[in-house]
Amino acid sequence: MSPFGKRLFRFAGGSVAVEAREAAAEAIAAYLCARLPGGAEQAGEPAVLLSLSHDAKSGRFQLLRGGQLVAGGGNAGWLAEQLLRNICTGLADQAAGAMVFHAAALCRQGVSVLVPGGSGAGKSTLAFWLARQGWEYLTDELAAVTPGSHALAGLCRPLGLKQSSLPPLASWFDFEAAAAGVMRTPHGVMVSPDLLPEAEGPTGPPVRILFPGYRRKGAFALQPITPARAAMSLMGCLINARNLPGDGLPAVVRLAAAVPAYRLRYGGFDQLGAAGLKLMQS
Amino acid sequence: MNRPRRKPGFRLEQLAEECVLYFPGESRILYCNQCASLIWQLCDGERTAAEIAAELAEAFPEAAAQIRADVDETLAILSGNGALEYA
Repeated sequence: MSPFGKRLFRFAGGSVAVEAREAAAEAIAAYLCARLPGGAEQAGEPAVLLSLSHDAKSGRFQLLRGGQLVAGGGNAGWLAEQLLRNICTGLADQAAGAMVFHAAALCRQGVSVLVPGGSGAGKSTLAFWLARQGWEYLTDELAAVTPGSHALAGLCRPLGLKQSSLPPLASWFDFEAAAAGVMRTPHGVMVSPDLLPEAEGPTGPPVRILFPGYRRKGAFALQPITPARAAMSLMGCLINARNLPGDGLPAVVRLAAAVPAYRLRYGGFDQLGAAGLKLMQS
Repeated sequence: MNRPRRKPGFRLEQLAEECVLYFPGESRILYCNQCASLIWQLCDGERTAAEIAAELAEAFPEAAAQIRADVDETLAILSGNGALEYA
């Protein structure tokens, strides 16, 4: 039994509980889970139980999933990444009430934008930059869209930035000054969502779908893509297809038919000024 | 043996003049533009590739010179993804 209790999270029909067994483990869990949906301590049996512990003598952390060791080591940042990954996969594996995309999502004045992309597409970097421009941060990893209503929800976790994306962002954000909300990891940093604007009310359906592609010093291009191409790209980002009727294709097709989609190519944040932002908000 | 036919079980979703073809249980999805979408729909096991090309050329005379190559290329892609069988 953990002296710190259990945190229970629910997202798109999935549930995951996280328990921390020592103070050092609790500090990591508290940082990661601060704004995950259902973050308050609650009773109930979760489908997935993740336990994080820390041995003060050896300095080693352990992460167990359903009692089985899934990761161990002395690096808190690495363990935090593993815990976050297991929370995300645990929730996504069970999700059946919505289309769950590997995507970032942001909102501004009731206008929301879905930013789907595979690993390395640059969605977290773009989400971070948009949040620094005042967009409300919903997620940089898992976005759920309800079939029919297209209501959008994001798994509001710490935003993960790879080491390579830090230099171009340095002129937009002082990572050193914000050290209390920034956790170093082997691959870069995590930024607490507490440092980013938070959505205050319900989020409307996405009015734009934006597939990002960053290439250093590349040219700026923002091109509309057809619904069929958008559907194809969205299917590539749909994580819980096997839990949805028709493998999710009918619902994805309706989403692609309803929401205009664009492919964004850019080589620096200075390019993402007036045109791109205006289009997303219009 | 040269009359392509759509394999049963494939899901087709039409979006305006384009479509996507999906392979249930697999993580593959094929985008078909208007031309490829029409070719897919003409693969009924009755028409040969030449007959499909001739029908499309009649419907789109301005593109007639290119259509046979497009048909061959599209059939090769669909076949390569297991979407066609040949009668």
